[in-house]
Amino acid sequence: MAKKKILVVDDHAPTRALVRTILEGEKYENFEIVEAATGTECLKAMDKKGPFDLILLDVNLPDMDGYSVCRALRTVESKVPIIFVTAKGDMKDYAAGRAAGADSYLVKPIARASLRSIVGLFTSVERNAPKSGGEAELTEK
Amino acid sequence: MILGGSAPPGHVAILHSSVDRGEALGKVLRAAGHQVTVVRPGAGALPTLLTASPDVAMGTLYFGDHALKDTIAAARHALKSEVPLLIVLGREDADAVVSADEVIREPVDAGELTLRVGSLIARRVERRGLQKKIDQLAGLNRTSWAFSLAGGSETLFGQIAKLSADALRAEKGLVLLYDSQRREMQAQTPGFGLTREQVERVHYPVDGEPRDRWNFRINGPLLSNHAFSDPHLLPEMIALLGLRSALVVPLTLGPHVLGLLLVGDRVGAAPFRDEDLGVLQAVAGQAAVSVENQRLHEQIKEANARLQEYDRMKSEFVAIIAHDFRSPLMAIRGFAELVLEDTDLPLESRQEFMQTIMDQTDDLARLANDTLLISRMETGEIQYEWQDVELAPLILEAVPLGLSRHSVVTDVPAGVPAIVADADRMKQVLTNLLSNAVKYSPEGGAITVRVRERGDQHVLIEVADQGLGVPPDQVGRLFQKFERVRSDEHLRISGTGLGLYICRKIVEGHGGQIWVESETGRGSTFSIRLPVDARAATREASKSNGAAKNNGAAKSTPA
Repeated sequence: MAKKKILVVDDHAPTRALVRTILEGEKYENFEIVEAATGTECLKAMDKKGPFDLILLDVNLPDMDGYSVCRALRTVESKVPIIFVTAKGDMKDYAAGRAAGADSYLVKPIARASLRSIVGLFTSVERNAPKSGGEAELTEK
Repeated sequence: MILGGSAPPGHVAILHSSVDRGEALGKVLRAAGHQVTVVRPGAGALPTLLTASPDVAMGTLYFGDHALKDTIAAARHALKSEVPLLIVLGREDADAVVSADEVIREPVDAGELTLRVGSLIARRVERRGLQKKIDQLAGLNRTSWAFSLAGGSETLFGQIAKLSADALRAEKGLVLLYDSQRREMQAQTPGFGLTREQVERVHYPVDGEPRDRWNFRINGPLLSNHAFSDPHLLPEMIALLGLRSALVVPLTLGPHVLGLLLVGDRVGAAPFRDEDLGVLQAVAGQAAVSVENQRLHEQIKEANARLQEYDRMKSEFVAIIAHDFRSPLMAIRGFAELVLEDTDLPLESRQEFMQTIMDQTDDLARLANDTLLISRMETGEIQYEWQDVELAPLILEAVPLGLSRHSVVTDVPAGVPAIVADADRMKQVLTNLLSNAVKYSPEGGAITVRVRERGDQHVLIEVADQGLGVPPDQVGRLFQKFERVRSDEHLRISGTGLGLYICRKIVEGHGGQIWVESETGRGSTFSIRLPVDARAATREASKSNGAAKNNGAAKSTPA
């Protein structure tokens, strides 16, 4: 089975390392982790290293806010699940995340169990490549 | 008899020690048209006097058992009225009497008596009219000016100008205030009966004039019915305002002259009279209080706005800081969970995770310190502790430990003097600059710390690296709070944007400047220009308060 490809976008390097450690240490699944530290890097990675099976996106990025990144992602890739990683303080902004085209959210601090469960859920659904013409199983708003 | 025809008739009380002489004097006054009450000495004297409520009291130095002035003082008090007193001096009363408004000597000449009494009554009538006017104005002040502060200063100046003009039946009114920064007297819009354009053009310097002489040119109140040719008034000002006649009084508050109050051109071109100055002065007294209240009101409003802005900045600061605290906490919690739960974790991973936890804890501690320091600096709580500081050892203490890819070269010539500075804070500046140099030269390389003595009682400290550099257009922004270089390479490296802000604040607190010169991709050189004696330099600076604030942040080349 091909490795699922996950893009982790966070400006805090230890947080990216933590996500990588948790997901790569997973025995049941094989994930390939690609990291991006800024919004610009994220869009570049999307262009050069995609397609991805899942994107974990921090709300607070140093160069642009996560919502703008999300909207920009949606213009190039409408199907990939995007999950906002938000601190509790950003919860009120979740509606803004939905409006920007995100599928779900994960609240920091990142507990191993919840990260695995949400990543497992979203990647277990077979990704429909945009060109295949198949029906998306994740219904988009 | 000069005044016989023009003096108004009045009521005269006569209190003569000899009732017969009193009746004789009364006869003269009745003949001149006055009403006369001859008071008899005794217990009934005061009640009679009060019932009569005379316009003038006259009599001998002593009346009955009392000095006449005491009886009159009692009557004045009871009547709440300044009844003028005319004393008739006998031959035996040689000296003048201070308590009398007028004196007349025995034997009394009928013509002189009529003249004196007539002038006292005329003065009294006039004073009564004046008092009435003043009372009216005071009433006006209480009712209308109390509300005027909310309308802002323009409304207030307009009200004062109009009220002054109305009170003196004048066509024009104007408030002028002293502007202490421009050192000139400035007319305040709107005037009354004057166009905005006229008013805006009225301002003139008062340099070299004592504070009590900020009339147009003269000391004290001024009345002029021929304003064009009055040597005391500035002719260009009079021409500008088109004044034919003018009254000017200072607006004073205690010992301070705030400005001037001017009215001009009486309706129907009647001349101003001396007593009009009194009315205008009464208005000016109230006006000065209102102007001052208005100024205080504005000050409070401004202070309030500043506080709100400060509060907003504080909230913003807290929000950003809260976010910056969260990320290290997340990582610490996450890795701790892994170490705790993965019992079969290889030792190597375990050590790696624990190292991350330690690094993140250090980050948090640093962030907490920076936050606290900034908060204390912004509330002015930081007191610098001045001491002699040798730069060479201080720099060595500031070099980060455990560098592998970087080499630090210090270049401090032997002759460089010890400086007076706060050693801990200065070390913090060097630590921040050095750790930035390490952090933002990820490829490694040499970092040079160079100290040079300048001839002008200053030293120059430079920290140069071979790292990413700073794009020229971002050089100025860099020393502001939360500002970082906006490039992918820089933003990959975590940072709060507080370090250089703290550096600038500390260096400025030492009376110095900090700036950066850089070429993108070729490294940066941060330079600090410090006075050799920061204690003396900052003392000087606070003494000459007007000294221009140095703007080290925006500088791109050294002075």
